Amino acid sequence: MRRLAALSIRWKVTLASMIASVTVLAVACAVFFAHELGRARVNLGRSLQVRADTIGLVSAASILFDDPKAAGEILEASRVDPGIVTAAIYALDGRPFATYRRRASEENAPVVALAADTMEGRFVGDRRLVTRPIDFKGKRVGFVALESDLADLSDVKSGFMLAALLVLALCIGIGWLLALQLQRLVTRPILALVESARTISRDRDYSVRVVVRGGDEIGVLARSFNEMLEQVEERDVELEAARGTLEHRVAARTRELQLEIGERCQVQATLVRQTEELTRSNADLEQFAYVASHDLQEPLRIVASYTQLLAETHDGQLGPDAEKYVRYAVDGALRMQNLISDLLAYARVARAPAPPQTVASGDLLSRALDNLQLTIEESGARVTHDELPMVRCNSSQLVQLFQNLVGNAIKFHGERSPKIHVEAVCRDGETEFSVRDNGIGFDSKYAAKIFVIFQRLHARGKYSGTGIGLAVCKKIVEHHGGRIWVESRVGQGSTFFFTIPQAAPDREAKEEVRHVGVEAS
Amino acid sequence: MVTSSRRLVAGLLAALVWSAALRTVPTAAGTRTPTEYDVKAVYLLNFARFVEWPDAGFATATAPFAICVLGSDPFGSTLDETLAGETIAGRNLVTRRIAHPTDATTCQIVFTGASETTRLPAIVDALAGRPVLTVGDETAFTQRGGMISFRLEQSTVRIDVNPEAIRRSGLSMSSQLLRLARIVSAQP
Ligand SMILES: Nc1ncnc2c1ncn2[C@@H]1O[C@H](COP(=O)(O)OP(=O)(O)OP(=O)(O)O)[C@@H](O)[C@H]1O
Ligand SMILES: [Mg+2]
Repeated sequence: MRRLAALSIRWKVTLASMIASVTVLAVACAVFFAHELGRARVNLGRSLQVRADTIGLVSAASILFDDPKAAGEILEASRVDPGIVTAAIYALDGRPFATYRRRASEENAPVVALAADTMEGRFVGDRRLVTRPIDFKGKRVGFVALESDLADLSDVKSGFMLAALLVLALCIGIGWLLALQLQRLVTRPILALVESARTISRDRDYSVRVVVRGGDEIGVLARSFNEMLEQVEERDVELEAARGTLEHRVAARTRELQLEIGERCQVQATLVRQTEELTRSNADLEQFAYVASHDLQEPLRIVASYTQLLAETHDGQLGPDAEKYVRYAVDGALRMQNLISDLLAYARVARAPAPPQTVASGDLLSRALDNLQLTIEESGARVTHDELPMVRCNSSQLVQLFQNLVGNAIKFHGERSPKIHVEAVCRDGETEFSVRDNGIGFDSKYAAKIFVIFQRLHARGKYSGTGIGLAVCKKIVEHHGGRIWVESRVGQGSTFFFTIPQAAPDREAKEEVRHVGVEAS
Repeated sequence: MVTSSRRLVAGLLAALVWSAALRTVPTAAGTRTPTEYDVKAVYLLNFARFVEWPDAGFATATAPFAICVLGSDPFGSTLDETLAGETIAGRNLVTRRIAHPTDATTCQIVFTGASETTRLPAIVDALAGRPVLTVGDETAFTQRGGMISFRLEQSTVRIDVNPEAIRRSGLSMSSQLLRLARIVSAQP
């Protein structure tokens, strides 16, 4: 079956018409054969009857004159008919008067029996029996019976078979040739269609058109095919056009993008340059601040020393006004000394003279509290702390940091004696320290502002200070790669948080290189 | 086979009852064994059927068909019994006993017994050219100018025919009968 499905339509059509015609022919042959056989049977019966009648006619005298020998001779004449195997003439009393046997092996008895059984001819097995009365001049004188072995019939059969086979063979031959020719009527347009389809799918050439012949279904198919091809072609053209437009648009957009990229590159370059400039100017500024503060220290110390000396040596000798002025001058000089030392501290942070080392932060806090010992005693503050971890840092800077934060916490206390608590938690690869006080606090909207240098929230008359402390803190924390922030409410105390990353050696190395570079410039 | 045979017998019995030819056929089933002259009487009737007579042989269109016995009658009552009720071509059959050959001219068949051997030439002469079938009981009858003679062959009645004599008389005999007969010509 699958092989039949793979067969070319040419062969299918040929085969189909062949099968149809051969079947029809075979059926016709069979019908004709049956008909012929029937007719042959009838003919055989009739000719047997005629022969029996003839025998009867000729043998009447031999019966009437009681001459079985003559009757036997008449029967003997049946030998010319090879189909007759036995024959008999019966007297009216049923006595077998004369008999004939084609072969000695034939028995007469069946003839006798069946002859009396029926007067009509009939087929018995492969034999046919015919019995006829013998009438002479209106008088019945006996019976004649013939038995044929239907040899004629089988002759007819085989003859017909042969003829049918010949006709069939001939017709198959002619039918094949005809079918081969006629199938082209159907298959040629289909094959043309197939060929075109193949060409199209192979060459992708949609300009090919199928020749349309006739208005039958194949014609319709071919026309539809052509229409389809036209549509495909149109679509191709449209597609081509669209592609052209698209390419154009892509090119345009690419150009725009290139322009944009160019612009951005310029902007970035500018940004980089500006950043560099900023960095340089920052460094310049720090350098300037350091140099200025450092160089300002010496003359200021002279001014402060001599005004103090003046006040001590001439105590009571100057007028009250002069003494007041000298005191102002001494105050101013001392404040300026503080300011300058703070500025120097601020500027020094970035210079980072010592490499970072791992130390116990608790020790660093103790050093800071030692430095603040006088202030703590004066204010009666109580400074407590939890267990503090090891940190990798620049220890003197971290001492400074603690000192500034605890110093602020003591300084900005209210009615209550100050209580300060320091603790630390380790999380996300960094150590978070907090310094909590119970001081005056401030509005949290200033939380960012207070880390800016010189920014203060409280009047100098009430709380002394330069407004540099927290800026230094911020610089130290950022120098260590951490963050600093504050949570506070007015009258509720403040908590300062800062983080120090846990060991990140490569980063520190980089930082060092950078600072070396800055120092060099 | 047995049942077929029985059916056959029954069928044949019915046929026998029906058939008018019953008495003309020697029968094994009959009570009487047919004698030689029974057979010969039937043969005479059969001759009437296998020979054709010209219309001129009859006096009138309705004249009966006469079978005559010349001289002494060997049949007894058999002939009359055999022919009773029979017709030939629509004519009634009659039997006549005649004494002289000249009386035979109005007969269609003349049977001459053995007693008439001496008178044979006279009979032939008397019937010369007339359409009368002459049948002799003696085998030599045909050799002496008669038309048909009986002959016994192993106790079976057989016939001899002299076609020349029949032809001369204007009669015609069926070839069927001729085939059964021994053909004889007249001895000079
Ligand atoms: N613990 C605190 N409680 C309340 N206010 C604070 C606290 N710490 C800082 N401040 C506010 O932030 C301002 C800035 O503090 P910062 O330490 O920079 O300057 P200062 O303490 O005034 O001067 P300096 O520390 O330079 O001697 C302070 O003037 C104060 O108003
Ligand atoms: Mg401070």
